[in-house]
Amino acid sequence: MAFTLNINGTDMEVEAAPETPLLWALRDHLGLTGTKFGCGIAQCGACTVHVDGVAMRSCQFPVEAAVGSQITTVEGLDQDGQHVLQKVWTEMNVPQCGYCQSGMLMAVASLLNDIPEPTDADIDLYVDNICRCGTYPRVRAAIHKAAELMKA
Amino acid sequence: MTERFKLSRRGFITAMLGAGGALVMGLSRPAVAATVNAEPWDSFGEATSFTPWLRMDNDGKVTVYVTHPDIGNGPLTQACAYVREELACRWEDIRAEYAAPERNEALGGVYSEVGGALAYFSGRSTSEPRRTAYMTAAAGARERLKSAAGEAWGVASAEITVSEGMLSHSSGRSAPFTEFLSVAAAVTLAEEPKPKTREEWTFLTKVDPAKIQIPEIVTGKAIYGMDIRVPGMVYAALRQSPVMGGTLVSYDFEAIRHMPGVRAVVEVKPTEPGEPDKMKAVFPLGPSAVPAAVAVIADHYWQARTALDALPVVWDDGPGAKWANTEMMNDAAMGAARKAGDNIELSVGDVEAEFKKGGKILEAEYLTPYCDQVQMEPLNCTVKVDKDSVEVWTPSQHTQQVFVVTVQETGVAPEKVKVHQTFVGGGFGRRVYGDDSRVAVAVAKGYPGVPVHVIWSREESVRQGRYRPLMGAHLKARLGEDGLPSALLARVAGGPGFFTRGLADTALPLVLPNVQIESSVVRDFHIKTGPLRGPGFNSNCFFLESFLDDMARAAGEDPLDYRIRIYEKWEDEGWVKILKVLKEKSGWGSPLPKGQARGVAIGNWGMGGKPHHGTTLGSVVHAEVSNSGKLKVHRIDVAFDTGRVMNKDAVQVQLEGGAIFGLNLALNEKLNVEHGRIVEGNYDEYPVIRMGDTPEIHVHFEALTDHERYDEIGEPPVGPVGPALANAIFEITGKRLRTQPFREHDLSWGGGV
Amino acid sequence: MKRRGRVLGHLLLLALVVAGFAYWYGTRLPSSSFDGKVAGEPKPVEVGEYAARVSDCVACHTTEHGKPFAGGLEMGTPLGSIYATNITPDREHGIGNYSLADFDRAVRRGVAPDGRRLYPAMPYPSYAKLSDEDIAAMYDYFMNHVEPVAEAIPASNIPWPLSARWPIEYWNLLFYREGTYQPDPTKDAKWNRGAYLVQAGGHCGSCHTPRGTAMQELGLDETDPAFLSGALLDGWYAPALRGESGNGIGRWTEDEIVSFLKTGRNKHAVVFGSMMEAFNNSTTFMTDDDLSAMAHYMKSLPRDPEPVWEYDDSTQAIFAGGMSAAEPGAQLYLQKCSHCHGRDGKARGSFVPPLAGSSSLLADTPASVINIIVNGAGRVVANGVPDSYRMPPYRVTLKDQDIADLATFVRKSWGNTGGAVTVEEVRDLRDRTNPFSDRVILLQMR
Ligand code: FES
Ligand code: FES
Repeated sequence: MAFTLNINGTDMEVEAAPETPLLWALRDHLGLTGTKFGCGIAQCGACTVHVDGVAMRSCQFPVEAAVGSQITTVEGLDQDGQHVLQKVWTEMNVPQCGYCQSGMLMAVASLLNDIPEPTDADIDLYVDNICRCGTYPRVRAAIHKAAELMKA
Repeated sequence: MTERFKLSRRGFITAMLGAGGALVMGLSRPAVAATVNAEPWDSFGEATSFTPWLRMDNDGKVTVYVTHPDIGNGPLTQACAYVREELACRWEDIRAEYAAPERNEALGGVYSEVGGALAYFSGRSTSEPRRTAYMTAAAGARERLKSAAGEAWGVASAEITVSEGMLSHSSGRSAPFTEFLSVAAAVTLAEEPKPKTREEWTFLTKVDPAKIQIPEIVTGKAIYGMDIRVPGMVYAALRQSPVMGGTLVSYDFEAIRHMPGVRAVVEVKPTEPGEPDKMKAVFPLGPSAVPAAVAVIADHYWQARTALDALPVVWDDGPGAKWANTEMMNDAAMGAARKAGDNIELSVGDVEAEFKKGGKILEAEYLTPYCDQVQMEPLNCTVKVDKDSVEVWTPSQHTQQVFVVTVQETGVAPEKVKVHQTFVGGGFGRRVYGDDSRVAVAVAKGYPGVPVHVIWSREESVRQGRYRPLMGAHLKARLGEDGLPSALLARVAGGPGFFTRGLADTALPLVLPNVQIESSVVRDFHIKTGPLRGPGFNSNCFFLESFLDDMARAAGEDPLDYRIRIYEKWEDEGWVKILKVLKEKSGWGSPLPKGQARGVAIGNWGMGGKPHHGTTLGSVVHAEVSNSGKLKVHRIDVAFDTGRVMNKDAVQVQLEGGAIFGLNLALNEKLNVEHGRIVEGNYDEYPVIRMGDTPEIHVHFEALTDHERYDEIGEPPVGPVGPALANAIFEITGKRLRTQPFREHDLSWGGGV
Repeated sequence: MKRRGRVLGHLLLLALVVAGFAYWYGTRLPSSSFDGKVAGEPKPVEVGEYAARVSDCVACHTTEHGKPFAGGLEMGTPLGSIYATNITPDREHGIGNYSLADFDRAVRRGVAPDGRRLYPAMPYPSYAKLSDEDIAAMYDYFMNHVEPVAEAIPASNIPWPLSARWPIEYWNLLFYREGTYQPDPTKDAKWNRGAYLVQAGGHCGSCHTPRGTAMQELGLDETDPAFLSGALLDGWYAPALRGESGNGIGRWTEDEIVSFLKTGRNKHAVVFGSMMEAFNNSTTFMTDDDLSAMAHYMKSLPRDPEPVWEYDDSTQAIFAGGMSAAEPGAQLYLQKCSHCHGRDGKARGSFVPPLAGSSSLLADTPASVINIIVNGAGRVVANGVPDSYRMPPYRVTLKDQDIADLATFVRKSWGNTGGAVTVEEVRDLRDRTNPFSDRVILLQMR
């Protein structure tokens, strides 16, 4: 079946079965490999994208349900890495292997959309992604830094 | 092979000289996006590098060839930092690219000869031989540029200074490197320059650059193994015999043939790898043996995966199925640990005679379970097998191992085998054997002529691991009149492939007058094991350091002071220094509310029985246990001695990550066995610490002894953090945790909140 | 003393006679309409297989990794474990020696050839209504088309005298009604077909009809308002299947019911728990006509009025702005659930089911919601293809209190009307659904 998805502001055609998870439509059909596969059962967050501005796990999001929504992937943050989160992440040496970080960034972006100045407790709730490398202390510090920069 | 490459066989210096006038800089390939060989390496034969380590292009970009895959630990960046130190180019102009193992092969080990044993294509980037290789190459390039500029400007090259990619002279003349590239390429130096000494460094240890690949990571452009897209590529979903060592009886392709996108089912037959001719594998090849497996090939991964799930497959479980449950295996390991060991790892004095004296004798048993690395990127590999050539794209931890495995599995001549290293979504030891790549090669052999991207589901990744081995330990000690141990007997046992590292070769047994350390192998365990961040150490440190805490308490002493008394006898002062730093910085001894306590532990990763080797690390964990047994870890303090550090921030990051890893291993991780199969398959059943569970982590650099070494940093925290937590829990609850994971224990207790 | 002894003697004698009669009654072979008849020539496999599918024999008579119909599935009861029998045509371990009449007695009457009474875990009170034709078809299928498996099932561990079976006949006397389904002439053929499927082979009432103190179903057909009015079994709440209402399944159309039974999902729900097993093994194999007849019949049953569920969008407001002060259930929902089920609690296509208006979240009993959070959902297999949208278990990663908070939150959000969930309820269900527990859920019927 053919579906039209709006991804990072552009309409794109996907030819896939309706139950195909958005994750695989993005990665295999559209070549947007920034969104990662980690678990496939919504436990790790590596596949986090925004659906109408809210963080969702694309591995458990059927492509049929994405029609009519605005999807944003890590590629849609800023292609040149000029998004404040991307800059802070680079400066503060946040990623280790980096595999979880697209999802991490999308979860954080969603958090900052909702709560411009999150508390540590807010961060714990909104950013429940797994990072096996253990970048959590850096991610937390970087969120606070980004929030500060965005306020200024 | 051209003459040029043959000449370079003797190493990079000759390669440079031997190339002579043929050394042309900056002509070849257009700059590709930074670090990754996502684009097939067109042909190293046409490369026009300074040396195998370095190349400069006309646009001023400097490419550093890095042998060791970056699994998040930063070797790409470190290699670039060495070059930056000597070449004085702009940091922004440096890119890293993975060195090709086929090039190494063609050039007679040009990369792998540097750094010894495991050090090439793996491990840390701070070893002295590697550093020297990069720095010598970069210094040679710098001197050639200076010489070329001196010639052009008519001044002595020694008067020319380099900075930020510019050559300048006091006369006011200056020019960018690029102006002299081609001339410099033809320069022959009378002598290759020596790398700068530590005192002369202006970049190394002064600037702590963040990892150079981060801009690619945060834009989603970084290409991991999972992200390889090659024209004409198809996808394969893989299933291996659910019980390791089992065989395939039958499958029914007809049941799925009609499903969308499905192309084929490939059956993989088990093989027993021997040693390939003349090529020496780095890690043993046995653990890379191909198991019985089926793979469904389809146009898209989702299609392949769905069809695989629907494919009727019948397995013969084989002998492993006799292990009905985990307890059976635990009992077998403990049973072996209770008997005299097959191997004597260390024997000093006479422990039995000492035990006969009586007095305070302690005895305890410990157990650590099978655990998986659960690195975030599930295993995967892309392979194209043609009649007489093979191309592999792999997120490996050891590119050269994959190269050897591929040559062996296909029988294709080494010069026709290309291996592209991609970014790696976590390793932790899981990606060293090349078993993941080998099974992908085996699948691609069954579907030749087309690139096949083989993906293991998370469940497949977890259930077909090379695990931290199941290990049991039986320990016995006697305390002397001074309260310190006068004898220690340790017997450990586990399945084939377990590690004794950190048991006999660490400081504790080496300072005691009577020590006996034995090990035994339970041969009929069928579960495959392998390195997991701090292999051996991550179990043995738990055994010894928990037991040592028991001794301190039996002696009625403060556990931290007790350790100082013991390690004062050890000639490497780092141990005591660490304990003292921890005592001061962690708030050790300061009062805590009821229900909270601190625990301490210390160990060394990599010392191999010698002082001033490896990385010693101590940890204090501050934990809280509620009345009902709910555990919260508030804070972890880490102090360490790895001699010196090269990039302080990189070290800090690794220690934070390592502490979290060690905490999770002790707290949460365990695989269960049921009729020979691994039960857990995904993060829902195999919990991993998340943001909200992460304690404060304080890394202290004050214990560094400035000894002349830059040792490994990823593994060390994984040993002591677990026992430090166990020791804190004992302090609170009076319950001694002798098995991991701690979450399985009922920690409820009488007092407190 | 003597006198007393004589009375005692008489009493004993009387007791013996009564007991003897009782024993005889409880072990005698009842008649079968197939007595003296021989089975005909083998029929094509489809005929009997379909009947066996409708009756979902495989669900109980096969273990997860076992061979089809070889039995062995453990069912916990308060007295101990019993095991489903081997119903392959193996002569020693299976039913290879059964005559058609023996088979009939077992299926429709709950009596083995040796007179032993079957435990009513076997839904023979429902199967009693199966037609002669379907019985003959099933017999043909098992005898001629199922592979014999020479495997014994484990022995039941119920201790004597509780292991005696003859008293079950007295249960039968009270609760068992003999007789095949008799069409209602006032209703059309579709209705009657639906009634037959639902009551007889489908044995929907086994889960969806509440049970009395002796575990008997409180109604076996539409004449009883308790029939299919929703019940708790196996730690799952099986919702009411009756008629129209503004709530839960009562809001579904006939077509939506059909698609649920055929594909395992519709825009309201995805099969889970025991229904997933019934779906995977049975309803997905049924014809559209039969499913449609079942839906038609269910919709015709009268239902008591209940409050109409309406979506309440004020829940979403909780998630806007800082969450630090929100109730723990809302926090956990955001952290663990919202990434799939959405902050709006609405469906994501027909694959991730809505929580808003879900029948399990409106029900009085929280069993289903606790169970699915603790144990997750299995894989729905439609058309031989397991789908991969499944609820992961949180047994390992969430504590009892967390699950209670979470369940409470979803049961009162988006207009849902379920009550609060206590930590004790979670602890109890967690314990009783733990395969290693010795307090397993009573009578694991599927
Ligand atoms: S891949 Fe989607 S959450 Fe892990
Ligand atoms: S950076 Fe490696 S998993 Fe997060």
